[in-house]
Amino acid sequence: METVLSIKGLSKQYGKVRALDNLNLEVKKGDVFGILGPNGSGKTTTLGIILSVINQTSGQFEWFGEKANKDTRKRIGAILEHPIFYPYLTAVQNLKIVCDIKEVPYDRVDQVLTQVGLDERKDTKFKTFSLGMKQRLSIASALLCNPTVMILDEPTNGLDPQGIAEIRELIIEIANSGKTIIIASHLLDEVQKVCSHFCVLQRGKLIYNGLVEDVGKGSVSVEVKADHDDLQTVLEESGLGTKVKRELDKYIMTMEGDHSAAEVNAYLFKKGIVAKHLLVQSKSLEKQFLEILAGNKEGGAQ
Amino acid sequence: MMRLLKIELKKVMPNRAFKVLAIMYIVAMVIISMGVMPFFQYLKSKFADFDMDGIDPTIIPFYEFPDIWQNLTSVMIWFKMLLGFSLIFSITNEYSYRTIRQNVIDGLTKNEFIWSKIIMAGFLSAMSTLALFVLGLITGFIYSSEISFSLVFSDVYFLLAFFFQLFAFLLFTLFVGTLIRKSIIAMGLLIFWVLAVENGFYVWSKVKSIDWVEYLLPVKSINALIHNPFPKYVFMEVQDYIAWHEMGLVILWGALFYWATTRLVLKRDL
Repeated sequence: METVLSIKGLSKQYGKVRALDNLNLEVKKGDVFGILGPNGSGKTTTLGIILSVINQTSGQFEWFGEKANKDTRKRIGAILEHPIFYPYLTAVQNLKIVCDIKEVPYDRVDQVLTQVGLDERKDTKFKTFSLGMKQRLSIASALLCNPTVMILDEPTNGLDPQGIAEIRELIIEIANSGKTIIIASHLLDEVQKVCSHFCVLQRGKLIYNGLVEDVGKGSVSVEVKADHDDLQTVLEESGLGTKVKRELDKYIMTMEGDHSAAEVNAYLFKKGIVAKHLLVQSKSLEKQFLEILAGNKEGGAQ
Repeated sequence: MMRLLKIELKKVMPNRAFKVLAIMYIVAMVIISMGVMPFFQYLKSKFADFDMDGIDPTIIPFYEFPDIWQNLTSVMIWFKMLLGFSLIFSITNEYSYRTIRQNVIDGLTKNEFIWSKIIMAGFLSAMSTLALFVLGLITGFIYSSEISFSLVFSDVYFLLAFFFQLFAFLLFTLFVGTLIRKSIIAMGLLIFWVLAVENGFYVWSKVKSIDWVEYLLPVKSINALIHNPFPKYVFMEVQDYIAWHEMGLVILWGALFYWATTRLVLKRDL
């Protein structure tokens, strides 16, 4: 598979703070790559460096197998947390400037504005736009050059649920068209829904890099509800799980080995208990993420 | 180069601050190049009212070839601050709106960004030089008693000097704007520098009679390129040509500000 972005030994020092520490990453063509991490872990710094707005302290990166030159960024569409445009210019005037910068013909402007549903407001000034409209304009701007790679930094921050859903739909749509997407986010749910790969940063260090579909593998837990006075003890004595935890009226048992929910059901029935609720939970990205962070406490601490 | 100018004009032309400053500049230019003689005539009529017929300011050949070129350029250069403000606005806006960051993300290199501003500075200087040339020709033909090719064009090189003055000054304002990044503070600093710092050092150097201090003051050096021609109308001696070393100094200052601005933008994170 063709490598779109490769990052080798990238570091960034802000005074005494090491915002990024020897980062190595590779993004292949067609990946939807999520960069996760708590606030201040170096996500935005990484994106800033690969977009040439932040100078790295050491290390290097390559786009499409070559050092970043004046034409690489013209093939990239970027949607960042805060949409940035000239407030005193209209949507069309703003996009024409982007056309000139990216050297694409002006007739794309109307196409992308229709695509994001802003054609009615195309001659209004940017400063009169609502946040959702501003975000849609930045999507339009990113689509202008028909990019091979899309970069999104916290794309749904500050949007209402409808806006979030629209952005998510758009990401999936772009991903389906075979484009490579790099997303920085702290919304795990979002990454799990759209990404194929993800990595976790903590205090500027890469602490995990893998496939999203691997997340669900491994330990499974079963949620049980039944009319019994001491379900906790019964479940603990079954020997099927490692741990039983109570949450309001239900009990969550972390399964041991290959034991399945069916075995739990059969066991309870043998004990004369009828389960009225039985739910299999595979591990969510959120859980995995928190585990990764917790497991690396010493590694990331300074 | 045309691409960068096109981008810059798209950013700047619809901006209200730019429009207001440009209109003020154009009005000032028209008044300077058209209005001095009518003003002299008004003075003459006022003097006549007071029975002072002996004083006739209209005999000053302000608009006659070839004097007109040095006269117009040496007065018009005082309004360079208006263009300087418009350039400071355009650069500090890029920082306060963070559009410089977006421009680079969209695919402009930092060097191209600086060059788009420099080309704009050159464009403004060239446009005002051209406008002054056309206006000067018109009024020159109206008021000159004698017209010949050599009279009309003999001192026209003052316009070239005017262009260099404006361009070097605009590079200075570009540097101030890039350094400060906040429009109000940058404009305040510019005024403070020109009026207080440079004048202070200038007066001090005159008192101590240390001549070389003047060369270390960029705006003074730029202003000094075209000498004030008016004392000659009261029979004092003035420098009525452009000295090569003064021209060299202006170009040197321009180059220094270009270098400093580029360094600032390339080194900084956006």
